[in-house]
Amino acid sequence: MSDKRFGTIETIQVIFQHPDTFFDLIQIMDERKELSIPEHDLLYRVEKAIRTAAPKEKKRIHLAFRTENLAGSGLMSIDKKAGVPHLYFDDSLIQLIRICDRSLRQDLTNAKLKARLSSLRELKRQIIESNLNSDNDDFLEACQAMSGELNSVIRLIHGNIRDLELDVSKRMEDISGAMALADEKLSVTQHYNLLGQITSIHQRHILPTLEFLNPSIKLRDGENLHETLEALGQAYRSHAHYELADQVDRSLISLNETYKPIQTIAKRVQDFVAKNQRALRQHNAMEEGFEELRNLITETQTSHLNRIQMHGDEFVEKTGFMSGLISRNYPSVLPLYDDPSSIRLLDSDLEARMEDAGRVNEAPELPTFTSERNDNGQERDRGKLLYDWVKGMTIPETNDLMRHLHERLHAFVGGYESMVDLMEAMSFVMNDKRRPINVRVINRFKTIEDDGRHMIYRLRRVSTISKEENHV
Amino acid sequence: MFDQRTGFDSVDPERSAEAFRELAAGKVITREKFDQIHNDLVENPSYTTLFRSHEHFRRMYQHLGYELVFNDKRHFFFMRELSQGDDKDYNRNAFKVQVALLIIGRYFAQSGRDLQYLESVAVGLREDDIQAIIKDDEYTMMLRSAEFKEGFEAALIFLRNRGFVFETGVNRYILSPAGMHFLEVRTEGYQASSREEAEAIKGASDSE
Repeated sequence: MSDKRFGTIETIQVIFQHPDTFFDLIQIMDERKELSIPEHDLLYRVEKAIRTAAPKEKKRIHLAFRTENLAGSGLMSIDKKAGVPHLYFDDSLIQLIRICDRSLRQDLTNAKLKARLSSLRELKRQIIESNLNSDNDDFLEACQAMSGELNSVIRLIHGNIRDLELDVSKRMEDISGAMALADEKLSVTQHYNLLGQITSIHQRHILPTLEFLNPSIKLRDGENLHETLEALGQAYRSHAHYELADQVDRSLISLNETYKPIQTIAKRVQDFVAKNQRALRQHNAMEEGFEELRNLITETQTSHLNRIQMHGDEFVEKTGFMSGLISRNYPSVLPLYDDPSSIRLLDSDLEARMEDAGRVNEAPELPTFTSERNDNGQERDRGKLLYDWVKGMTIPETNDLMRHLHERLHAFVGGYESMVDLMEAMSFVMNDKRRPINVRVINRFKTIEDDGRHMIYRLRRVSTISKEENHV
Repeated sequence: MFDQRTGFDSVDPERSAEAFRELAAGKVITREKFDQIHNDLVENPSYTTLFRSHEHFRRMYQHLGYELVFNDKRHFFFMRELSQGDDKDYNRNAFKVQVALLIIGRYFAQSGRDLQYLESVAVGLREDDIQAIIKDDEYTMMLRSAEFKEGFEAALIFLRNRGFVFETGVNRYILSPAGMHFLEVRTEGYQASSREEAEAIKGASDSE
């Protein structure tokens, strides 16, 4: 039994079937900032994994995680530190496991980014010192290392932006939730502690990354990332290594693209930290309401395509604020009232129209516009015909003279064109000083639709002058 | 002889008519209104009229089919239709008001400012704030879907005409107490609901 061993692939299979063991180990190493782990830590985790596993599986786990097996599969090496065996796992295995769990990813920190930058600088120096001769092995090796390093930098930053964004949003949510829930005012220390996590992310990760990517920053110890890559691209180009130069340019563009999103995150964090507890609560309340509106608007865009307006009843009732607020003008205007004055109005209106009907035989037929253009005399005739008809019309008391005239002319005058004839008729009425009426122009606009055309006009109100007044 | 005094005797008909006109136009009547000449809040006579004979007006409007609503926290009156029934338009104006106010509040909170500054004459909404809201596509889309075809400018005029914001200068506005009240109600509502939620979670984990 003891000499039984798994192959490398099978060992790795078991490791990935029970990833928690290694997740834990990596976390411990990260916390201690060490690259190795004491043997007993591994044994303890394995024991834990075995306890919860199915009986058949127990044996497999035990076998796969045995120190001899792990070392024999080439997945780790052992070193004794102060008499205690320490295990150094293979770097690529650790990296692979890190990818599987977001929390284990190595963050962008100042030190790590600095190390990346100096190794890029070093590679650039090597490349330039090799005279960029494609026969030179040093040059080829350095080029390969350079593209590998560039890709890993891009991967690191891209991967971390997403994590950073999620992480920052999550933390902001947690913090604002905790603050909003606090019954009384938070003490300064509590407030500080809550914000501490997020400010440390800002200080340790966001700012260094911004600095790393900033094309215009001046560094004390040499070129910045942008300058390094640009110089490298130029060197490649001047030695006719165009493909390599293009690759460098692409990387540069890719890195520049990440600058903005990180800036956005940084701004969000700064704004967030600046808020106090009260503002946070307000902020969340407003967001909540806004989210409800977003849902309402999505409804109009997805499930009801023929609907443009949001349906807000539920939204309104949530707070009940201003619910039922008057939205119609009061009193609503009805055409008929059961009182003497409105009956008198109706009566006089009808009477005037009856008069029109009574002289229907005299109703003019206005010449069409085409004939008018041919003969100048006819134009005057047209005006004259209309004038004669309007002169005989009785104008009763009305609230809207324009519509009143329009309706009556439309009914009796042949060839009537509202846009021209109505204007003319109106000016006849307005200028006729002998009529016993008062016309008041009111600063309100109305529209008449005729034959698909709309005319906007000012309201004119007519009141009759009583006989006594007329005499005076 | 009858000597029966009614509520009508103690109210100046002109003032009463003025107040009614405002209420019927869907306005809120706040205790104070902004006077641009004095650059300060001054007493609102319509409010005084309504407040002095509150019971009289309440009953009179009730007879007309309206409810006179008084808010004692922020001191304002408004009039609502009594019968809801199946009137589709019952909450139409309320919705417009709420959407416009919420967008102002959301914008303001997002920019990291305390909402109380919205009613401060020294701060309020300024030209650049208004421009920023106008330029935001999402706000514009929402306002259009809430019957403000012309976008935020129309919404501001709507709110101003109805007493939810006061115009304090050229392109400068503050929220009236009625406008502020809505943002406060939403904030309190959020606080209450999130506390309930937290207690529910706590209760669930306790019982486990």
